[in-house]
Amino acid sequence: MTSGSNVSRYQPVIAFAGEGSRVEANGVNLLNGRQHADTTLLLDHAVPNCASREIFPRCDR
Amino acid sequence: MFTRSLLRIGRAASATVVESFIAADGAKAYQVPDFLVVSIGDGARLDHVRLIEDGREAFNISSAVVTLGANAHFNTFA
Repeated sequence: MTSGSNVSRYQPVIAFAGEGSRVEANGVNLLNGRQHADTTLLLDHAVPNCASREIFPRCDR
Repeated sequence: MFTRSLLRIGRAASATVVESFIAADGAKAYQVPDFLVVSIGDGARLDHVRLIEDGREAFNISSAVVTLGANAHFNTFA
C-alpha cells in the first residue's frame, strides 16, 4: 500500500520457472494532492500451466 | 541508503515478509532506492506486503525480481 512519498515508483519482475505455480499481485495507492505513484509489473510466463492475477486500484483521499 | 535484500524460500517452505518504508520524525526530502531479489522454491509459498509511508517530500524508487519454482505460490500486496 502506498500512502506516503512525493514520488513512488515500483518495478517488480516476476518469472515462472516451474509449472503449476501461481501469483496474486495486488496493491492500492491512497494519494492526495500532487503525490505520484506508479507500478510497472512484468510477469514472465516462461513455462505452461501457471496462473497470475493482478488488481491495482488507485484512490484519491 | 541503498538497500539490497536477497530472500530464498526453500522447497515446500512458507514465509510472510512485510517491507515498511516509514519516514523518521522530521525527515524532509530524501530518496529510497531499494532492490529485492526473491527465489521461491518448489512447492513453497511467500506472502509479501509493502507499506510505503515515506515523507511527503521523499522519492521511493524500488525494484524486485522474483522467481518461482514448480507448484509455488507468490501472493504480494504493494
